[in-house]
Amino acid sequence: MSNVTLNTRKEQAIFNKLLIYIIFIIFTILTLFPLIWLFYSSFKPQLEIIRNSLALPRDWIFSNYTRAIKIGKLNIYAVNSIIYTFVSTGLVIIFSMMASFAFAKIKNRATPFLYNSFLIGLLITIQAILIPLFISMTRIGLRDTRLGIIMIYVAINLPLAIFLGTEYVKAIPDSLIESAQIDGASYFTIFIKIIMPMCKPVMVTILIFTALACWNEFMLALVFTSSDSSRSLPVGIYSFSGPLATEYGMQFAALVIGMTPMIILYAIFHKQITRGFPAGGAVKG
Amino acid sequence: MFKRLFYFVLVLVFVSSISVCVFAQGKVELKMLNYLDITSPEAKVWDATVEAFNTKYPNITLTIENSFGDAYHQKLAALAGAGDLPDVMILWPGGRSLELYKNELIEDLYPFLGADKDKYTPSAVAPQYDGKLYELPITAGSACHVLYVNTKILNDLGLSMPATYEELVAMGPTISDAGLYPILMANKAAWVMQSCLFSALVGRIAGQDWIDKVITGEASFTDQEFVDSLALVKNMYDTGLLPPQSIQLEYGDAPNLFVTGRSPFMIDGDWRVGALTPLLTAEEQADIELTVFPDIAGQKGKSGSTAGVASTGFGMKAGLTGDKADAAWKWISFFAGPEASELRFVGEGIIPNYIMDLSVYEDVLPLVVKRAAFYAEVSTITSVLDAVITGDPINLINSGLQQLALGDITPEGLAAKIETAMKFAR
Amino acid sequence: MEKFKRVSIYMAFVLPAVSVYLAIIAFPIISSVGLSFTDFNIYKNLAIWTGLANYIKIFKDPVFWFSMRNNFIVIFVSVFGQIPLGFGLAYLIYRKSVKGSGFFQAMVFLPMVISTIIVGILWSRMFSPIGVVPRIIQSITNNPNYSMTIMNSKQLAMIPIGFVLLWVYTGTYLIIFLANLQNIDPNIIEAAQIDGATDGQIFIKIIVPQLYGVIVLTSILAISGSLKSFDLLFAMTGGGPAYYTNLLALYMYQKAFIFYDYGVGSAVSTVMVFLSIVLVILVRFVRRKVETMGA
Repeated sequence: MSNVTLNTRKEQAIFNKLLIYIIFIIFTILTLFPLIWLFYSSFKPQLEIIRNSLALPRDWIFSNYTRAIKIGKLNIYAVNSIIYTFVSTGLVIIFSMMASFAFAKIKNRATPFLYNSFLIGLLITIQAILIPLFISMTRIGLRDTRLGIIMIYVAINLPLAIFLGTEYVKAIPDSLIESAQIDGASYFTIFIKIIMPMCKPVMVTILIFTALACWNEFMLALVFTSSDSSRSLPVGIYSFSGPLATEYGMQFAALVIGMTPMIILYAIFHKQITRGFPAGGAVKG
Repeated sequence: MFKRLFYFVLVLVFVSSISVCVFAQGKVELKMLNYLDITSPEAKVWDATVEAFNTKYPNITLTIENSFGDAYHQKLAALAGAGDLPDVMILWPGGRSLELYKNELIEDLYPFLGADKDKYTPSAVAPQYDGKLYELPITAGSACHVLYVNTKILNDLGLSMPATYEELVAMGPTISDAGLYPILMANKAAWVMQSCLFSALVGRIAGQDWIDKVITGEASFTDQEFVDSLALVKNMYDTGLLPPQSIQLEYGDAPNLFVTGRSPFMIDGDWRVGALTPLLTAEEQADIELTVFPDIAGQKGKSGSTAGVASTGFGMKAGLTGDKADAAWKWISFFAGPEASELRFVGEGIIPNYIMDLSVYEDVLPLVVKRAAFYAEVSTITSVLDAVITGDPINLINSGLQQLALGDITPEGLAAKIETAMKFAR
Repeated sequence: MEKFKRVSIYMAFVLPAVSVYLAIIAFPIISSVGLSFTDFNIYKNLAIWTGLANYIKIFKDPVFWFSMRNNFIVIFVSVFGQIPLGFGLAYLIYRKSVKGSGFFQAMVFLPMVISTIIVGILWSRMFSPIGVVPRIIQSITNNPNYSMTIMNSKQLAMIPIGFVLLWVYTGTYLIIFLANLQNIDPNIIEAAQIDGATDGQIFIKIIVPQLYGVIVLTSILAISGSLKSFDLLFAMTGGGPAYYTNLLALYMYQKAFIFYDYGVGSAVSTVMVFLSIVLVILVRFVRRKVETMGA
């Protein structure tokens, strides 16, 4: 071993601890600084943002927010985003848990094919399906409708949800199911009474990932929606970043409005995220 | 007894359904795709225009979707592909809307225009493609290249308007030493340099004739005039007139920096007046002058020329009939007509195509007046490159100009590449 | 009869997910692959068969290859930057090396919660010549004319992007690794400690092997995410200047939605999916090799 430059083990331990703290503090600063900067900048009038980008506002004004909401129709769009997020997340949880149960616990030769098809979905970019989907949805008349958007959001979030769900259900001991079957329970009863209660952790994880994805989704909403009744919040926020945009104050206010709900959601649920992973350590690749 | 009741009800239903139809006939719905950035100052004029239309034609309901930039064109193309074009939409006289015209998706407006043709300036109602008029332009032309000058800053620095390019270059160090940008241009988006400066340079150095020839193949991009134009752009970066930050400036940054006095010169399109007016007081506006690039040694084009495009306007989808077509034409002609033109002139300084007396408007902002005066002083308008060249060649020009600025390609090398792509496209 | 019952219950359970997926994802993908062999005129809704012409076109385009180079840089940053970083930080939290681990965990993950469009706009404002980052560096280096010219460089423009990627995505991997670390049976660790193993030995010989599966999983997620990467760069640079920060997904977007060359766009996305599949197979192959070697 090389010569140790620190004299005692205790000093080494303190040094290590300090280093670790410094690393985490750096991360904290890196995360918080942009957000804090964005936050206080959104209260500055536009010219002040240009002249003094770093300084705190001289006077805190609210007009950026009121104008952003009014011009960007953000209140309507926020409602749409809420609807999309809630409904899509709910449907994803139900559909994926049902499929996960089937894939994990009901023997069927179709499972490898179907399961892998879903996994391939993880590799697909949204742009790849954009045009064919746009054309077919217009023909059916579902484009620019809430139902259409919800269907799309459900479909694109299923791969990850089914993956997480299936792995989790696989870890539930078969013996539990078998004994219930011996007692005469149908698959349906087993699903409701045994599987679902045990799967609360993974359902929370799916909920968080799906809710985040739906709330923040931008590209599809931009292309598929036209009318105010179906546009979502990210699209409204993007309208402040157009090629002719010069109103940075409003843009910043819109950005803050866009981020805050999810930050609050995360603050509430952050502990639960890590519980949704299968017990027993390694995930069988 | 019941029989009579039955017939009575039948007649009632019959009559009421007829009257419902009659009343329903009164209201026509018009679906519109509008090109507008709702956060821009132009939005206020737009809102007033729509309100005026609704007051004039209460039985037409407008269902408007606003979009801009790539999202607009992409939406329009997707709607076209799905067979669901809106009833009326903003169109370009060439360029991006050409495909729609080639595929016969847009209605010819000449039959609707009829004798009203004379109410508009001749160049506006000239045929756009295939002998037809597809959109009714709201203004005679839009200059893509304007040199905005803050005369106060110039005077404070002890400088005056440069008459030639050499004089401009000589001013560079004085301006940078004062901690200012010599020339402000927001070149992060590749099209800005090409549209707002380069096209005007080509029009000036090589002349309009050359531009016409290079499209048909009689001239080549490797000709000296074009290479010189490229070299001039490179020179502007090399001499520091355009500092390297230019390539990082977002399009919205330029007017913001200009109004906070960070530069005496800004090069941008004439539509920027709309962005500048809300940010400047009337006195500050008096200090701003609108002019064009100074003379360049050896220029073949006319001194004092700028590059411009014919304007956009509304057009209607092909195949509309009856009330729908009528309503669509009402909107199109209203938008280019006197009431809307007045709103645009007073609010933004856009000079209408509709022939009308503008001297009656007194309460106009100084910059708006200057914008009108600008057009009076411009000697000639040459083509903007992205209106007459499409596809790979223009893409190469756009991104190539950025590479040129960064020193990653030579003028000759770039010219050769463009010519190769153009040969393929011809 | 028993089998029939089982099969019909199976179908009942999978039908909702499968039917939505089929309609929204599967059919469009297949038609997209088909489109890649045609020249598609969207205005007429007419597709003309052109065979491999689109593929030849993109393989000849230097912008395509440069975009792919950038994608590989993103993959590299993800697999060799975000994953080790996430793993390391997770391990530190797991070992309770700092107080307030919940807070720090939240701080690292927080950027994931923000829409990537917002992140892109935010950072492009911060890096812009009139933004805070140049301003800070100006005051540190005492050079009032500093601006982030690194973003203009053909070779190095991806560096600020790499930084933002780390900022956003490290949190996900931290969460995944932490969850799996917490699920490791503590008895095994205790036993090893009783046997006198050092922390380092425990880490290398017990913890890492337990997590092979997770490492493979996260690598797969990282690779697929990197190849799909679009929102962030769309908002930050649009692929510019010129094409220096272009990515395959952006290139596809440009071809399909700006030039209306959907055939070419579809070809690019087919290539992207193909590349993902190849890389995923590669990762699983490596994992098998490592397992057989280490066992």
